[in-house]
Parts: sequence; structure tokens; C-alpha cells
Amino acid sequence: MANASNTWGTLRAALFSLLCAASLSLALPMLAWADDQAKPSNESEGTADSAIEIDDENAVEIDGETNRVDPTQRADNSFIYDTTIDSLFSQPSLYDGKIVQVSGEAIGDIVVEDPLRRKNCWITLTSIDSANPATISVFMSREQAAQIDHLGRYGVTGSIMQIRGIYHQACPEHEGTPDVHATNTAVISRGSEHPDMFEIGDFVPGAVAVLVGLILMGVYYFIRERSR
Amino acid sequence: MWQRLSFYDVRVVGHYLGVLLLLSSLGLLPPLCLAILFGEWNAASRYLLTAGIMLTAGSVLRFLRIQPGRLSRQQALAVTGLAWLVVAFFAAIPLHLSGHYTSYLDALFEAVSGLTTTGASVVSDLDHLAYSDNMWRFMMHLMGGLGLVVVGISFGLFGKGGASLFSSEARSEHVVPNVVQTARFIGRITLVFIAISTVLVGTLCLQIGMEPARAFLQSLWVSISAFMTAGFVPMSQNIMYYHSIAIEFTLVLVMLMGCVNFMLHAEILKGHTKAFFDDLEIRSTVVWIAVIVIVFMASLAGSRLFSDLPAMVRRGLFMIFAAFTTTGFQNITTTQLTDFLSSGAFLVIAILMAVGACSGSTAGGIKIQRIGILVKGVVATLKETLAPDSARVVASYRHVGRRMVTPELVREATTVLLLYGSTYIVGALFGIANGYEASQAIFESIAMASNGGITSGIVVPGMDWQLELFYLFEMWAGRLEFVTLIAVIIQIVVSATPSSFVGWLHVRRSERERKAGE
Repeated sequence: MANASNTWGTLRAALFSLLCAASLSLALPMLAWADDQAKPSNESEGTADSAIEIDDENAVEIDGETNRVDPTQRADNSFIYDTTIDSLFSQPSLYDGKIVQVSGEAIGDIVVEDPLRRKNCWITLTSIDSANPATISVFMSREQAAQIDHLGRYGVTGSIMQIRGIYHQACPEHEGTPDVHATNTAVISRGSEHPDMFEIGDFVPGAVAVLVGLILMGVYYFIRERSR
Repeated sequence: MWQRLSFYDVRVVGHYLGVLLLLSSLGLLPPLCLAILFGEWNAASRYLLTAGIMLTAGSVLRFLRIQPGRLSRQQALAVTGLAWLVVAFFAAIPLHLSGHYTSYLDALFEAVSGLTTTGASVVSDLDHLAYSDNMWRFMMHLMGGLGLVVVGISFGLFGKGGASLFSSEARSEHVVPNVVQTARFIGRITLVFIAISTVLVGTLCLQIGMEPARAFLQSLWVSISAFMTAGFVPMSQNIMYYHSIAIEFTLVLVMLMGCVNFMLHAEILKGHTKAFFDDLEIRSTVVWIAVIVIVFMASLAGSRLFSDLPAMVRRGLFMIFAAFTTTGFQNITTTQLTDFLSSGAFLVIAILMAVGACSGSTAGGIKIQRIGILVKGVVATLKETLAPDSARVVASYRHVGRRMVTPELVREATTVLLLYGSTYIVGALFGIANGYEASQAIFESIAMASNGGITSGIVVPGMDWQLELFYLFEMWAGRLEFVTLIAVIIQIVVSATPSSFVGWLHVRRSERERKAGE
């Protein structure tokens, strides 16, 4: 009797094990699929998930029980700051060492970094918003600079470029220059030329004034010679 | 009793101001030619109009006195003092019409800054400024750096009155006895240094990939600015735009050449190198710079950003020489200057500008020679105190030969030192009253009165007009080393009192009666 009951118990255990194995084999692919689907949205939270073990000594509780922040957690470097040149100029510490994305007009000249190798160069970008003027030096490859069709100067509007790269408030590689080391560059608007048109009418007031001045000079010399 | 300007004096002064206006109109030729060459027709019409206005105004002023005669010292002071403002009023016209200045006052500020070689700029969108406008800005540096009167004298426009004018424009030393020859020598030396610098910097600009025309123009402009210890630049990123240590190094040398007394240039040309190295000012400068470099670097070592050696040497040394020579070039941004330099380093730059460089050069500030003479005077006083009654203490210094430290010399140095010091303080208080940080206000006031021109961010386009007017006065007074300007102001004030006007009417009536009687 005891043997029969033992055999039955063993069979039940084996049957239960089989059921568990079957359910697990079905559940695991489902979980893996669900994880794959959820990956993009979880990516930005990845650091938070991995840093979920908050040191209770340093943890700060905000608004009750659930919102907890870790003050020892360092700033996230992988974030891209879409900002303006003026902001880089006015708040350099905020963006130092971060990946930034700025847009501005390419002006002046393409200045090569090393006149012998001519591999990399400097471009000066000026802010598009005239109310907040500022400029920034952008360090990039010659290939990236070749995208520029016009450089801004008098009578020329330069290409509007969008630059993504690491901002330095005082670049250690370039003896303290505030710059952006570009990783991605794109021309978002082509430059254009708008030369001055020659209008003869614009010169009439000047010509009249010069003529009056010369006549007065002549009269002065005439009177001076007569008074001698 | 203050000496008043008579009506005759006013007419003579007006005549010579007209002469200077006519001469200054010649300075419009390079920008006009450049505008035509590069097809900047809008700018060309502006420069033609300004030339016409200056020719007309200058000629009208000359009619005030057909035969002006020889200039008295009093008249010379008035001509020199007023010339800088009168020329600036007309020089601001093309700048204002360019549309790069928020108001006429901003354009006037730029013109005064250009003529007094201060180099603080309130231009908007400098990177899109026409070549001709830039050329005019640097022509103002050239004319102002040499001295409007010196330029006039070198053309022989003032006849025998040149000597009085020469000394009233903060230039008391003659390289050669003849004042016209001295003025021409200063002009020649300047042109030689600018030409050499243009070739060097131009070659370096070509090497870094700039277009030939831009390389030539920009090298010419920064060379003028460096030798005149002025400070305007053609690009908004200042000297940092070129990203070139070689250009920065060349400009440091040119700035140093510009801040050396023209008399010492002459001594070097004569082969008297000993006179150069024995000079009180050169020796004092070496000691002064050595002390400042140690203090500045020690201060910079504690700063967060420029504490590594390459950055410290490149940025630190350039800023030291730019401030010492009162040029005002920058290879750091204004934010880096105000926020990232330690307060000590910031203060050192202000002190460098306040003291300035050598006398008889293009540099501004109190001048090393005056400080040296004051130190010598203090030492002589101490010696006199400790010496026996029968002893006679004599202090001397070397400046192209041995010279005595006379009480008059010490008094002159003390007067100028006090006038600079009080102007720095009043300007700083003005800035503070306008709501700026004390350190920033002190720095800016010193930069304006010393004609240093490194700005901490107060001088911007569209700044407060009252502060702008005060800074404008500081630049004007600093360029003339105060004495000339204060003398002119006193002359005008005492001459404009009602009693003097009544007196003038009385003289006119008696003259008329005398003529009628005849």
C-alpha cells in the first residue's frame, strides 16, 4: 500500500514538473518578445533601472514614499542639448563637456588647424537671432567643412549649419579655446549673395557736397591771396 | 585768474580745427577706394558724402580767420583738445549710416574709441561689416595713434605754431629739434613697422587658408591696431578667430614695439643700444612685467580653466601684453575673462591697463616713466630725511642721457597720477550707480580712461547713454592725459560766463567807435 502511494506521489511530482517546464518554455519567448518591443522606450530609463539600487543613506525622499532621487548620481553625458550659440556663450558651465546641437551662420573663413597637414579646420558660427548675437568656434574635418557653400561676410549670407558635437568652455586640446568639436554637421539652409547695386542717384548728395567743399576751398585761397 | 579765450582766439581755433577737418577728410580716401574696388556701392556713397561734408565744414571753419597767424600756447591747447571731438563727430557719420550702430551716439563712441586708440567697440554684427567700414575704423586708429596734430604737423599745416600743438598732444619729447622732422620720423617708423607686420601676419593668414585679399586686409588692420596699441579687430571673435599661436606671437612683438618711446626707436636706429637698455622706462618695464607675470600666473594656477601650462602660457601671456601695452586685443572671451579668471588675475589685468606702458609711445595709461620718477622722488625724499643738514641729495634717471629728477617733474607726474586715479574712481562709481558689479565697473572705467579697451561686458551696443557719454569723456581725457582737456574745459567755462560776453560786446563797440572816428 505504501509502495503504491509512493509511486503515485512520484508520478504527480513528475507531472507537475513537466507542466512547469512547459509553461516556462512558453512564457520565456513571450517575455523576450515583450522585452524587445519595450526596448526603445526603456532606453532613456536604462540608467535609472541599472541605478535602481539607491543607497538608503544618501537617498532623499520627495513627495511621500515613491519619488526618490539619488543625489550622488552624476549628470548623464549621453544626452544631447539642443541649444543656441547665445546660450553656450552666456551659460558655458552648463554645457561644458556635453553633447550639444546648435545652428548658426558660417562666417568669415575656413581656418585650417595645421597648415602642414590640413586635415581639420575651424569654422566660426554666428547666431541667427540678431537680438542675441554670439559666435562659437567649431572644430571639424575638412570634409565636413566642404559642405559649406557660402561663408558670411558683407554682401553674403553664409550657409546655415546645424552642428552636433562636444562643447568645451575652455578646450583642453586647444589651450583653452571655447569650442565645439563637431561629430555631425549638416547644412540646413544654403547661403546666398546679395551684392550692392550701383545706383547713380546715391552718389549725387556726396558729389554735390564735395563740389561745394572744393569751391569753398578755392574761394578761401583766393581771398587769402588777395588779402596779402 | 584763469585766462579767457578772446573772440580772436575763437576764430583762430576755429580756423585750425577746419584745417584738421580738411586733413582728416584725406583719411576717407582709402575706405572710398576700397569700397569702389570691392563693389561696396552703398558704402562708397556714404564715404563720398562724408568727404563732402568734411570738406565743406572744414572750409567754412577756415573762413573764421583768413590769416590766422602764429598759434599761441593757449590757442594750441584749445585746438588739440577740441580736435579729437570735432573730428570724431564727422568720423561717426559713415559709421552711423552703415546701419551697424544702434544710434548716432554708438557711432560717435566708436569714432572716439578709434581716434583715441581705446579699441572698445559697440558695433553690431561686425562679421558682416563692409571692408570699407573696417578700413575707416583702422584709419581712425592710424590717425589717432600718431596724433591728429602730429599728422598735421608732419604735413606742415600749422607753420610756426606746431611746437605748441605738439607738446599739447601728450608728446613733449622731440626726436630731432625740429618739430616737423620729429612728426615725420614718427610717421616713417610707424609705416615701416606696420608694413613689416602686415607681411608677416599676412603670410601666416595665407598659411591658415584665408583668401589672399582677406589675408592682406586683415593683416594690415590688425597690424595697424597692434602697433598703434589700439584694439579694434575685424572679426567679432577678436584675435582668437585666427586660432594661430604664430599670429598671436607676432602681434605681441608688434604691440611691444608700439609701446616703446619713439625716442628710443631713434636711439636704436642710431646704433645707441646702450641708451635703450639703460633707459629708466625699459628697466622699470622689465621689472614690472616680471613681477606681474609671476603674480598673474600664480593667480591663474588657482583658476579652474586656465591652470594647465599650455593654456596658461598662451592665454595668460597674451592677455598680459595686450593689457600692458593698452592694446586691448583678447584671445579669451569676455565670459572667460569675467567668470573663469580668478578675481586676482582679473584685477592684475586692470592694474596693467591703469599703469600703461612707455611715455612718448602710442600706449595709454599713467605711463611707466611717471611711476619711475615718482619712485625716484620718494627715494630722494627718504634720503634727504636721513642725510645730514649739509648734504644735498640729487636724484637722477637715465632717459637718452642722464636727467635730473626735478620737483617740477615730480609735480607733473603726481598731477597726472592723481587725475588718472580720480577719473578711474569716478568712472567706477558711475558704473556702480548704473547697477553693475563693482569689479566690473572698476575694470571698465580703467579700460576707458587708460585707453586700454579690454571690456568686461559693460560696453555693448545700445548701452545706457549716460554711461556711454561718461566713458566717451574718459577716453578723450585719457588720450590727452587730462591736462590739455581740463585746461580747455576751464578756458571754455570762464570764457562763456555772461561777464566775459558783456566784456566782448564792449570791446566790439569801442572798436566800431574808433573806426568811425577814424
